[in-house]
Amino acid sequence: MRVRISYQKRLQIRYTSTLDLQSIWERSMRRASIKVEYSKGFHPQPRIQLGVPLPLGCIGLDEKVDIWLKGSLSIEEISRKLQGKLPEGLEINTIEEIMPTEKPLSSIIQFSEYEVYLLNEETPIKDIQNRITKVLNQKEIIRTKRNGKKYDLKPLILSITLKDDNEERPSILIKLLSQSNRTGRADEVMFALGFSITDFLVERIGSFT
Amino acid sequence: MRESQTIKEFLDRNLITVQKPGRYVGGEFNQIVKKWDSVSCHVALVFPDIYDIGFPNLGISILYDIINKHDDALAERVFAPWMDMEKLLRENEVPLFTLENKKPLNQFDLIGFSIPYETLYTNVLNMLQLADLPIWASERLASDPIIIAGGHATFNPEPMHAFFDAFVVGEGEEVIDEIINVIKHDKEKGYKREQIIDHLAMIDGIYIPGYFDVEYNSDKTIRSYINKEQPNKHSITKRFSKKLPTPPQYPLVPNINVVHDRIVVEIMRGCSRGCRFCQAGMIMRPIRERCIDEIILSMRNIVINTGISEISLLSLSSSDYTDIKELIDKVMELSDEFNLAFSLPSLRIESFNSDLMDSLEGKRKGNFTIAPEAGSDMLRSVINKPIPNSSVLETVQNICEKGWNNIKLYFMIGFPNESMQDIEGIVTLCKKVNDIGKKSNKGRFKLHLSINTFIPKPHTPFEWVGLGKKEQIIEKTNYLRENLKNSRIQVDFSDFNSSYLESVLSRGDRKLSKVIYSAWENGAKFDAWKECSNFENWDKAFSSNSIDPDFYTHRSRETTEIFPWDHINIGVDKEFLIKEFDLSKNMQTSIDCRHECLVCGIQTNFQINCSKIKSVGVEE
Repeated sequence: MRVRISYQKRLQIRYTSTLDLQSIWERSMRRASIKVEYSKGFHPQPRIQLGVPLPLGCIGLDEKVDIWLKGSLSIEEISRKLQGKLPEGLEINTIEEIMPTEKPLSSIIQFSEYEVYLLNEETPIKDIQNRITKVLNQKEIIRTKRNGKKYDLKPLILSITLKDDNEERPSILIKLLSQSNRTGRADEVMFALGFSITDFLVERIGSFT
Repeated sequence: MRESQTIKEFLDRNLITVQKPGRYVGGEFNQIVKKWDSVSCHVALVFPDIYDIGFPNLGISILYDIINKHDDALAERVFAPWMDMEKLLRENEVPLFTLENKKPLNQFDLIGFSIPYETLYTNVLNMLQLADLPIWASERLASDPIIIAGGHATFNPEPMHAFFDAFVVGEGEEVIDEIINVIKHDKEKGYKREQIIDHLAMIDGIYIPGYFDVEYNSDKTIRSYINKEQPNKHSITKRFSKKLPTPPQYPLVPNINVVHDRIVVEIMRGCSRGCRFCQAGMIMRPIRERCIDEIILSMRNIVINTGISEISLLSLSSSDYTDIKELIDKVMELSDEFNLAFSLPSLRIESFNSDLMDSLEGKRKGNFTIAPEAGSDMLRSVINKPIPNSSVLETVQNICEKGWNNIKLYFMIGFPNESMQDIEGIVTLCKKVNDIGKKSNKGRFKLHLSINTFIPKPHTPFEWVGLGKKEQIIEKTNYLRENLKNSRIQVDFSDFNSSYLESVLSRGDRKLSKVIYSAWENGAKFDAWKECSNFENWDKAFSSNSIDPDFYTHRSRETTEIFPWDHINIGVDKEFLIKEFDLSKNMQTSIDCRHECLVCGIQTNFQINCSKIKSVGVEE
């Protein structure tokens, strides 16, 4: 059976990369005594498929993973078996059984929503609003990828809004494309807004089709 | 409390800017985080290299397990920050902290460093400074933690004597409870730091360098060691567990990629082969085996408790385990049940027979490592690892037929009495191995050579021998490189400067503390890392302290000389080491002492019977 697990990724484990997260899930399932199916071939791998990669250091509120299980278990049983078997910071929201033929998450997700918390309070709210407007009005935002290639961030941005409901610190809501070959990064938007890497904390609210 | 909060905020803000931030956050499955105020004794366990390297360290994980079992004590872990994190800590004036409660090191009662090899020494100093603690033991104040060390490198504690309040000689798990109890008791009574150290000194196996005075002869060799505080205690005898303690059943599971990311269960400690170059073989006596049932039960528990699917058996010589065949069969059953990958390192070809090969049948074939060490039968008699070339070739033939494609051979160069003929022997042997492999496995066969410089180590029959001279080692290295090129054999050589440094540090005396300090001041750290090692820092340190390092490395010693480590008693008599040294000069071998006692001293000094001790863990 194939299950889709929605989970939160917070605390220390947000510093675990997507690659390492694969083995975290594999080991968690073994601790829970839930048998996972393996791929065929010379080096069989457990069939665990993570959704849209979450950048290192980001909190995720509604991350997804698809896991193919041997045999058939009730959702309650899977949920009960996983109790206490996940590392600190990984928490399950929901588990649902899906059709084995369903398309992989990475191919159906269109965009993701982020909430970015500011760690400094110095920047006046009005100033932030101005910066957002300015960025949204730009024709293109040329940024450089880690591999040195230049790309235009602007078409990847769906929206940027300031969330200021008189809480202590304001936050910024960012909606970005999350397609396999066209994915925007929230930290890149923040850089474009003139913030530096130590100024903020990114939280992904969810990814949508 | 506030300090931990500051550290957490610092991390929230800055972690994203460093390489592999997961190194600094903890939170691994099975991590134990106790409420700080709920216990009276706080221990920081430190491994002086980065998380990725230190995480799998078995010593740390055993002590972590034992200490945290005390209701009234906690143990937390610390690893060396990589350069990027170090820079941030310094810039932000954040002290080095533990992974569990994010507590600065100076808040702990006891800090224990695990030091398996000498090239970690400068990292110790660097970490003490990052922790805002006095580097010199003599400068520590009443409020400072007690800082101790253990591990194989500390079997010669002298080069680091000035930086530690105490050393544990021998197996930490045997004495840690006693140490914890002294600290708990003394803290409750309100004793001062110095008094606590005095009480630690009463525990067997604890060496307090500050208790000893050293006198030197005019030729700079040692005249005597005097214990000022306990005049009748001339030497410190190592501690060891008569029965191997149960392995930790809940080891931590890393959240990030680390080296050796697998379950390791120790099946046997010690080795009876008596290779004359091998320090572990001397200092880890006597042999103690763990019974098959405990090994299998522990493996099963650990697989279930960690979810890790790679397992490995640990010992100095796995195939010498008495019931190795039965053990492997049972491990295989377990590995089928849980779909595990299984590796069996440290095989001796004398005891790895085709029966065992058959047991391993059907498993994915990884590397197969053989350590002939020397290139000729004669030189192998000198070092007492008498495997004839013919057996090496026969084993290679067998394992190639069984389907192994990757063979790794370990050699050392610079042994006493070594001639160019022995080096030619390495080439000849490797070419033959390569031919056998190619013949049976066609294009898929790969041979990998690892060639290290022999470093004469303390507490071995070669402790009197000098390190090979640079010109000779380089000549031999060049010869090997020249004659093995175009053979499609991959060859790795150790760097001579690193071997030289390891040699100085492992055989040094108290005068080296100043040198280590200077080298660190000059910028030396991560000396074990190829990309960081910089011999210039050390060169300067030797000359600024007017120390000639050749005194420690290349000099051959008389058997009458008093060594810096002679007051550290490993239970093996010096007479035995001398006898073995003499035999080596005549190319005479000694047998495996399982078959007949060679009277190394371990039985009389510890009042034990080796054959009984060996199976204590098996019979119960």
